Amino acid sequence: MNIEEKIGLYVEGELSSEEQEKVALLIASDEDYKMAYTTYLAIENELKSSPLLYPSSQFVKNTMRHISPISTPNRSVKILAQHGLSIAAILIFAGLFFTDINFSEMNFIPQFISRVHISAINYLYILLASIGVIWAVTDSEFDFF
Amino acid sequence: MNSSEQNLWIAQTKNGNNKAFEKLVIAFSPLVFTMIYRRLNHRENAEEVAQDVFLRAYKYIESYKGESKFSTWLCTIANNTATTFLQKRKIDMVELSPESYERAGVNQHATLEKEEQTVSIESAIASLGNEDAQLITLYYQAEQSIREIAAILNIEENNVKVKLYRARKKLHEQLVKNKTIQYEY
Repeated sequence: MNIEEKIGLYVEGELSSEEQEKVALLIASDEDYKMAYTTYLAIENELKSSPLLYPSSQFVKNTMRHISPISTPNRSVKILAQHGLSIAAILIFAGLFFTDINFSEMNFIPQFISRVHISAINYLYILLASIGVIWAVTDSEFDFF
Repeated sequence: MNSSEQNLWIAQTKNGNNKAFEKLVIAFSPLVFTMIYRRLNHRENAEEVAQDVFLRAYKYIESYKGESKFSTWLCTIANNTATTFLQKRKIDMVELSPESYERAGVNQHATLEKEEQTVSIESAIASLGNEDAQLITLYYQAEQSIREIAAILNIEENNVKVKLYRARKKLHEQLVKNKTIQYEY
């Protein structure tokens, strides 16, 4: 084993403890060992600080252009569904409110609220509208949360 | 980029935020590109494969659970994608000359002196051969541990240690021989 190999193993801590001590002493006393050790550390530092290679300046743009087709259709459908359900929610509640008001008796409390029985279809509308609102509000793209 | 920033971008990407993913691409493209370039020795192909790596990462980002470093996860995808690319194309891997590394997009912001030294180190790495060059990149530039490199390359840790030891030995010899680094004693 030559000096450089020994120094490499010494720096990596791969020698036995006895050998480690021996090499440490040699580094302190022997010029050849000292030089090999300093060289080894200098190269290690240079390698650690050597910069990475860079792709072309258009790389990020081109990559994102490829990513858009993956994400856009689903995203558009999702946003359309969210907005559609939110608008539907507003229309349904507005519709239920105004159609049930008895103007002749000046009773502005919608009758559907006081009714004991709400039709199944209204339950479905309300459920869908609620899902739409919750979905729209909790989606991270809107940054509400 | 700190790790909390990185985790935020990953979480936002999982929620479909493309801008956050773009930040990840900007941050990690040099690492992914360098790793693939070392393997393929061809700039255009390396860019193509690197793009594919990021497309896959975007597609499967839900599967990243944070159990490993994000860079380790990306390097694993990069290694697998490069392997698939080489298998498909059956490219004759041509060893790079130092001149071709000079053309290979070393960071333009580096100072001239630093750039010269970088080119010398790149030449020394190029002289190692693809497999060793990739190991050196993962160890020094991607700052991956032996265990992480073993996971990325899907080989035993001991095997990584042996290969890395040999690659570093060759690299040290090459750098000392080329006298690329001036030492002060």
